[in-house]
Amino acid sequence: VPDRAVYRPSTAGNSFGDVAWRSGAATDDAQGRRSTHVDDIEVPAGEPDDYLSARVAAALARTPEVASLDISVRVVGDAVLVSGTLESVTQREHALAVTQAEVEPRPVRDGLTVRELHDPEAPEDLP
Amino acid sequence: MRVAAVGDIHFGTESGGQLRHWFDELDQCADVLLLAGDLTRVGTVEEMEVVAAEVTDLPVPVVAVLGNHDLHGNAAPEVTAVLQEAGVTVLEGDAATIPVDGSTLGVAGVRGFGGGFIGACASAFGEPLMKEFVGATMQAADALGAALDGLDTDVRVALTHYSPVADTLMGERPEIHPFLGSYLLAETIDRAGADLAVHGHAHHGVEKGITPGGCHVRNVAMPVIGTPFRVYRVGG
Repeated sequence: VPDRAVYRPSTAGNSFGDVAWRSGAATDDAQGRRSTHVDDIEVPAGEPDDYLSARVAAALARTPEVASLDISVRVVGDAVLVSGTLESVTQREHALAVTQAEVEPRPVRDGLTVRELHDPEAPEDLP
Repeated sequence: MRVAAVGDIHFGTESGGQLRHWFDELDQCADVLLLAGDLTRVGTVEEMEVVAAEVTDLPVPVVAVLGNHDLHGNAAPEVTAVLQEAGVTVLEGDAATIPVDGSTLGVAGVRGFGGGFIGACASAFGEPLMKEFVGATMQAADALGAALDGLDTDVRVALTHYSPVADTLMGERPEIHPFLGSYLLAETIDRAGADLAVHGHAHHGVEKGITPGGCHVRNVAMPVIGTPFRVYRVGG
């Protein structure tokens, strides 16, 4: 289907990390990397950023030392930005390590914060 | 009566001691502590033992429901037992009555489940999996209703993990509301009657809401309240 944005793993070319991608009408550049065109839109070679973000988010959720569904993962330029609030410094360190392992060789930008609690507030009276 | 509540503390094995110093002084401001689920990250016995140490021998009774994270390890009976051994009353479709200075506080609890809210909710229609999904919420709502109906107390509180209203989800992406709660829980609360409904689960929501029938709803997820607990005075 040459003119539709249908993404599916491919066994040749257009690889990023361990995953190969093929979509739309493909053309190879001088280095053998494959970019694609959908109508007039050029789709960069490699794993689409949206899928990369989803893959990292899933890894963060299934890693027991992190197990957070609250971490935002965004691709910004070449980097991957993770942000959100976690419960401990240890959990944050694990989250950064998992992210780096998933997106190597891209750099990871740390936007994570660790939860800080303040003293309980005055009771609320409910009528 | 003074009801302290918190949910979504998401303790890992390294979290011990984070809340204990606040909990030790609870009797100065509350008559009971409600835990609205997601006490752990992945629902292991080891994590729940850390939670248990945090709430053992507190100066007020502790009543809890489990959350979805507490079920992730497929060890609900085991983690429930850990809490019970620590003196915590764990509710799942049942209720507890707590005497408070000559009056009684009733807490009906159920974890609940998703499905969404009126105008944008799932229906028990079509695929068996879809019917099972909505059916699980219906069963939870029925169990909560039966538990509330069985309470003959001066004050009644509904304790859930999932939200009964969309009000307290404001700030969450609307697309995920069906995974955060169900109006079926609110419908049950309004039919059976309660003075307060407490839930967690919605980390990016807001604290305050109300059911269509006028019951106060409070989202006590720790990321929302930002404190070790909130206290509500109910029933004069």
